[in-house]
Amino acid sequence: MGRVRELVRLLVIAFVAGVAAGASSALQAGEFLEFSPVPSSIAYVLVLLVGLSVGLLVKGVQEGLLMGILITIIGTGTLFLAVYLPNIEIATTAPELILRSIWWGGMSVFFLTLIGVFVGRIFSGE
Amino acid sequence: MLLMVSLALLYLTESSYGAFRQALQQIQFDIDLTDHSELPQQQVRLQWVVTVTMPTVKILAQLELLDWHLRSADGSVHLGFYTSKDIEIELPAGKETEVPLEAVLTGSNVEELQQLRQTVPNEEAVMLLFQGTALVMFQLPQGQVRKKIPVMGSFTLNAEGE
Repeated sequence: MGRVRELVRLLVIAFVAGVAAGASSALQAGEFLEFSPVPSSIAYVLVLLVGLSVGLLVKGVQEGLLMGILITIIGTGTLFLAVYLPNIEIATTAPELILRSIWWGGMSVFFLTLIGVFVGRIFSGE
Repeated sequence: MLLMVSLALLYLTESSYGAFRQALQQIQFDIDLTDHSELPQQQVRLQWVVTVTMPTVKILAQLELLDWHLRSADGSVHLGFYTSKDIEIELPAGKETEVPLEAVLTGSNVEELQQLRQTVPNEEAVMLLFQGTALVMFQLPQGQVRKKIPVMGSFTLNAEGE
């Protein structure tokens, strides 16, 4: 029962953090760069903060790595929806433009989240 | 907390992006010839009013330049290239803005126009094409973007004073 509860807890954290990281990463996507109310650097800071928060919530580096991967998957999915839905016409005619944004956004979510998680683990005294 | 901030920022970004795309798709230019007259030294002056209709979107836009080619209805005769030169006219959302334009045809363009008039049967008006490009500047949260928007219209040139 305890393991199930722990798994549910991790999945909830991964989902919330993944959506937050994906939404933040979408702010610096090429399509939205000039439309965001904040500069693109703030988007990276937000993703880093998501990683840091998760780093403080997980136990152990292995769990942190797993969370980093889960957040990247959920974050990339969120990023895909955020970029694809308002650009359906562009996506059908020039999918490479959308895919490039998603690729770079997904990469930045992965690396920044992992950096944040490791920094979070250091702060928590591990 | 971070989730709320991220989603709020994404919502604002997508609203702004949606408004920009809607403005690009729905901005409308209507051409109306208001006057034409023959000037001394074989010149013809044409005056139009271009009515720009902006959709009701939260985005600041400004018309900066409008240049156009004048052609015969079938496009075979070119009657010159003209420009409004630099203008700065605000385009308020959901409203119509009237922009006066003027072109003075000279030299060979006047001769071409006279030849066109001779080709149509008596008393009939000559139909001409206005093929232009408007340079519109949109004010975005992180700067400005300029887009060229095609402006097309046709009008008839009656005998002077009609």
